[in-house]
Amino acid sequence: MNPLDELECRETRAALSARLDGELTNGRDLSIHLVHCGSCRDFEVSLSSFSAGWVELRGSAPPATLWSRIQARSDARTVRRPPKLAWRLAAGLVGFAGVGGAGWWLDRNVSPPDSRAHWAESLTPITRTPETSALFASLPEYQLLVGFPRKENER
Amino acid sequence: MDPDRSLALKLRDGEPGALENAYQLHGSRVYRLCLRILGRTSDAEDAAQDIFLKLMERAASFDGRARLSTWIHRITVNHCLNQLEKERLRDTAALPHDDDLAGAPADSPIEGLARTEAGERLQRLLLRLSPEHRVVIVLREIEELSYEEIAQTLEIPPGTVMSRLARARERLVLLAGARDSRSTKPAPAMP
Repeated sequence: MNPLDELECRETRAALSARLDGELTNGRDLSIHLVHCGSCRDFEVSLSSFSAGWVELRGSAPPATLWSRIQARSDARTVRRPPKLAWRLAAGLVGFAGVGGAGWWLDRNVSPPDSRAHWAESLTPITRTPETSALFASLPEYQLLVGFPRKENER
Repeated sequence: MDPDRSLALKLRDGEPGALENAYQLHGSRVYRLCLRILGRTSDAEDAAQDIFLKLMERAASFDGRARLSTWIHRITVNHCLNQLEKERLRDTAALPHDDDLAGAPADSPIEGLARTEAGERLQRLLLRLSPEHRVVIVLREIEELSYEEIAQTLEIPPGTVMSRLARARERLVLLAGARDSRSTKPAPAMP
């Protein structure tokens, strides 16, 4: 068979295959080739000879136990691995409770209520004079640490 | 909401009954595809179980561009192709390639895969096709999908579906002819 004939046979068989499936869109006339080509005629006959076999192979049903096995594996997975969202919520709650609890404990046991003022004043033991105290008291950083000085009439 | 999308969301969230609903709608198809591509009932049952568990894991990736059935077909086909590849790597003799006519177990028993001679003959031929050809034939002849649906499932152009199907059928006819000529060959004369 020369290459041109082979190409034509290949195209004809592709078209025959698509025609069998009802998917031949270009409306090509295959009859001229089929009249002269016994090989392509045999191909068409062979394709139609398979049809009864295909019908039978379409009828396979899954075994009745398949669903129960899928369900068992799915349940085992669910028990072993809770949903991601639940994990995230639980981790968030534990983290929040831990940080809150630690802060509460530190506040109660380590830091006296006015510790900030003591700490700020302890930074300046050597230079502490009435002038430097007034100067420090006027600094915004100092005011942030110890709180803004209240006026006499507010005390 | 689109029922496909709704079922995918339920699967993703692990809602009770969602997996059963998916199985009722698609279980037969998934099993049948696995059976015809893999060729053994035990492998098909294992694969179908794996696939339904995969559906739950991957439901979040269902974007609704294709139908849910197409998406499930795609997962099924890819799973089966991966299984065949693993099997090929494990033991190349287990699933004969269609070029390997002489070594193929053409007359080995195929349990539970077909009831009639015509069905059994076709199943044997199917298993001697390459995985690529087998898949396209199964999607067309057994699942009766259109070329467009096959193209979406395999993520290839419809024109490629047409040519691949034609090649697969040519191969099938060739294999059938080789098998028939072997079976009709007269037995060698006894000395």
